[in-house]
Amino acid sequence: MEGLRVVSVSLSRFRNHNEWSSELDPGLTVLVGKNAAGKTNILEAVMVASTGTSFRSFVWEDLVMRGEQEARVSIVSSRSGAPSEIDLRITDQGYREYSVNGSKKRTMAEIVGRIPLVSFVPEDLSMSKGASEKRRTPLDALGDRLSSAYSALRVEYARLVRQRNTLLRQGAADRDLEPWDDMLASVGASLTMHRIRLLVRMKPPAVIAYERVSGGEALGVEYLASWADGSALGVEEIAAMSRDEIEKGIGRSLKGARERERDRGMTLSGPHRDDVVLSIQGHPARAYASQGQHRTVALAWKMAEVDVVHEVTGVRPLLLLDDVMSELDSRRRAELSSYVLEGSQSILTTTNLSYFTGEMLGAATVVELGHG
Amino acid sequence: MLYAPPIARLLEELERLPGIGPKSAQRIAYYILRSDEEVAGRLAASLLEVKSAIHFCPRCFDFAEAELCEVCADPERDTTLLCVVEEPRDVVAIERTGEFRGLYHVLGGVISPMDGIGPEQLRVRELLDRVSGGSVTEVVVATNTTVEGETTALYLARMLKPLGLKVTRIASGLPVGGDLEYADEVTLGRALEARREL
Ligand SMILES: [Zn+2]
Repeated sequence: MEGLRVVSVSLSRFRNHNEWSSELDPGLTVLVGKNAAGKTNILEAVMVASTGTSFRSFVWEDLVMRGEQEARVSIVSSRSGAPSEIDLRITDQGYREYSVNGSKKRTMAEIVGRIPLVSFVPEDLSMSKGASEKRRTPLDALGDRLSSAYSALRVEYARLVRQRNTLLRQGAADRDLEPWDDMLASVGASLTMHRIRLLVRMKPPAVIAYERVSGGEALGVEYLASWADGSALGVEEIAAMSRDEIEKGIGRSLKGARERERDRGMTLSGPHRDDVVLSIQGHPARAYASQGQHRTVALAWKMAEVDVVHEVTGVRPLLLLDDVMSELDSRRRAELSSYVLEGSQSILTTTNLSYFTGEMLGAATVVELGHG
Repeated sequence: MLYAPPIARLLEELERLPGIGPKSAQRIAYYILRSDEEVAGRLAASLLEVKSAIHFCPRCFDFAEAELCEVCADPERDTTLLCVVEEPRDVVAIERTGEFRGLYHVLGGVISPMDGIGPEQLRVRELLDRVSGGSVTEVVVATNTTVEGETTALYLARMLKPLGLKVTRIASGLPVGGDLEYADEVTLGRALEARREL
């Protein structure tokens, strides 16, 4: 098989796992076990070791088994035949050290991208519901994993917003705020450009996947920029804007909202307040979509992520699917199953093997988990 | 573990130092204990000496041994060119490149509202006093390329330009979020050469 293959995973003193290791199937590995068996923890270990991030928020020291001094995760993979091993060591103080084939790496940029992956967890199923943060987060999380420039910009931008909010709360003078406005507009414009570039890549495969899974419905994807007078713009429309135009737009918006911002003690425009607006058959998904449509959106979005990661990194990503089968109806389950069997390497967790067809289980390696 | 009181006191003092944790403190303390008395004497003397002999240069706020620092006292330096840096260690980094012949001004940090540092906590007033009516025509802002370093550069540009000064920023040949201190000399030399106007 071309591209990437994860050969084995081992954990020690990681969350509830004292020692656990397994070889992985080149296709599908199913981890089956009861709820407290720690299936999700294994997927988390794989993700943390390959990306430094997780599908759930975490504190590093909490990854170490209670009362132990350090946790280890090791992933052996081979890419076009060349083997490589990532080792992650985490201490109970939250200090972590990554090495590849025994040599220590100082930055995450040297780790990220070695094992491209896409995770799909129950929380993802509600991405098209609720607060705008929920729709931005999957996009930004993908950006972080695909580009170290993207994640560096996000870190810088978040810091700028915190610094500026501190000044706003102190009721600082214009003279003190203006340099922060300029920086925020500049870094914010770069971040917006990165985000839109990613959205331009995500949109077509998401639309196609949604149409297929829903049986012909149309998914719409737009970007609501907090600095562009409150109207949602087409993704293509923003993509056509220059960095300078975006920077000026953010700058103008900051200037216009200064008094309101001082009152509320927070920065009210910029990419941290933007929204990805999804619609189905022309109606906003957030307000009008049915439960089933929300799940289809999530499924289509994940399939699009796989395509984009494949396109950007040149290899089909590893899929981590945490207990999502039980959340899908049989039609969507069948879509996902055939997608998984289409050629991705996947690790899937479940409490119940009855969600799977005989065909799927026949092709898979099933690993049973005991009680931690 | 319980240490004899003199060792405990030494460990306590060492752990106060930046970048020294309990383990490093223990390693340093054991090294001193194993060494000749002379080694400890030299270390203690050099600590006291540096405190009594070194003060801030009244012009640029770099460390100085004489009345003025070596750069400020050097008649060969170009007094039309002033390079603003965060800390004295940045002066050392730039001097090492051999590319800069002007004078320096050490701010003593960068603007960071979260840390309670505004222009008043830095040597900004002193900078403005120094350049107004002086021989300086260009100010090169060489603060680090962190969010705070960049914003401080923008703040200074807004203050300095109305005084008729050319304000430039070292070109970002430095990695994003990079510290001037860690930049290698070649990169830094090139960054100084290719400075851009703010
Ligand atoms: Zn001086």
